[in-house]
Amino acid sequence: MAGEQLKVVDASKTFYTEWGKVEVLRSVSLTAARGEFLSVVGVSGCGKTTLLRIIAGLEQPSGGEVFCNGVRVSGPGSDRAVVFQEPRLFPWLNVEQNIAFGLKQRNEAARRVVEQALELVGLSAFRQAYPHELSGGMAQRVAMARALAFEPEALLMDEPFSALDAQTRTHMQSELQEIWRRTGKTILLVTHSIAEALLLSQRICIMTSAPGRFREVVEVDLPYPRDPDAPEFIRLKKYILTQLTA
Amino acid sequence: MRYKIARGAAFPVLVLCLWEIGVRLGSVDVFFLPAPSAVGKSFLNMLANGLWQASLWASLKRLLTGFVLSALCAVPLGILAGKTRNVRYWVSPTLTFLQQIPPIAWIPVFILWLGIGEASKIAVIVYAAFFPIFLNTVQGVGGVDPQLIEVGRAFMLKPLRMLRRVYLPSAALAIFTGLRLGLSNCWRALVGAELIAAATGIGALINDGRQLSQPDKIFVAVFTIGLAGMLIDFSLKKLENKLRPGKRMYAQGGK
Repeated sequence: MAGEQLKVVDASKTFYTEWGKVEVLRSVSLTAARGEFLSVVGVSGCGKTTLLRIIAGLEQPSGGEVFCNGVRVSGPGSDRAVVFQEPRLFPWLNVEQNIAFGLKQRNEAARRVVEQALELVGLSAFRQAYPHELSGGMAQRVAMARALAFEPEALLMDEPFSALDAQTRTHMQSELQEIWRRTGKTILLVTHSIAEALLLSQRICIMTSAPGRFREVVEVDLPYPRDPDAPEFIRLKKYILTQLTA
Repeated sequence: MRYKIARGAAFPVLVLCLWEIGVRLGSVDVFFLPAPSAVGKSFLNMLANGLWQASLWASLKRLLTGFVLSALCAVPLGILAGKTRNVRYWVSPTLTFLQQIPPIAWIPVFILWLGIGEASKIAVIVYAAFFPIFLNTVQGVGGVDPQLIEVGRAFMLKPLRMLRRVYLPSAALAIFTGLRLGLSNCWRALVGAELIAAATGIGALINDGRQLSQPDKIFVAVFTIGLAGMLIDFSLKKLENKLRPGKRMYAQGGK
């Protein structure tokens, strides 16, 4: 299918530790269309981060395959960029330099890309600041800008807002939605927050733990921007919660 | 700053005063312990005939040659060992063994192999500086935040870029500390080497003093060693502090 950006087929992952083997993922499959906003929701430790890392190419699956744009993923690629749970900025580089980290060249085009990313996350005024001078929310925005400047087709986000306070978090969520709207990137968001997934995504994969498996994929057919107090929103939230804990 | 210097100098000045008084009162034999004033006079003499400058210069030249050579070996090897756990496993027992042997113990061997000339002394310095530089580099490179390395991987950095953009900036401070410790080590080892076999240098000056029964000369040399070492360490520490803001950022960054 031409519209397929990400495709995971029967991915499984087993870790071998000193205490024995741990099955983290069992036969997980998903497809994300180009430009789609897809979330994976699950409780802590259900393997959703491992799934994202496999899609990112940072981890090899024990079984199954991952495709990006129809090409088999065997490692990190320029078609995907990751936003980690922590900003993971380079402390010796300023905001601008951090954003340019993934760029191979330092020419006029690169400068423009950085400029655009800065503008997109609203940090143009802080281009010269160093990571230790930034708040948690700002640092995470730099991390987002760094991923965007890499110009990937798909953005893989691993609980990017979980370390932020509630207010900043809400703010960042609407910013992410705006970024998605403006760039049209495919976004895969891994989160433990049902509300976050409902607020942002078009489809939500519900994941259960030990071993991680998909229970269901829920279509969210609500117009943006979404109102967390709308009855349909609350109904979906309750439904997903029961699916998660069942 | 001025207060700090005064505070640090108080004790040595007191000792020098007591020493001078002791000698003047005749309670010590000047042959064993010449008065500070006599040492000072000897220093001025050596300064006038150029012996002091020539000796110091000879020592410093050796120091720098050996140190640079040592750093050129130790830093790349340290990076290699720090990055690859396997290399570390293979070489670390050997290095721990070698580290126990003071550089001076090798002097006779080096003289046997390299002759009595400059080469044997430089070999001692290379050896003396190697371990602090190497071990600190290993530690610095081995201690790079794995999360940052993963960012490098995710952004597809090639090995050389990864080294230049992730490992080296992370490890810079540790490497610099190694260089500073290495240089102090060198300085001590160098004087030892010169003491055993050299015609020039501060160590040779001590030997001259011993053979010619000129204790004042010995004291000039000993004080020169201490002061020059202090100066080297002080200036490097200053430089290191210039690097330290990076360290602070490192501790707080990536939260």
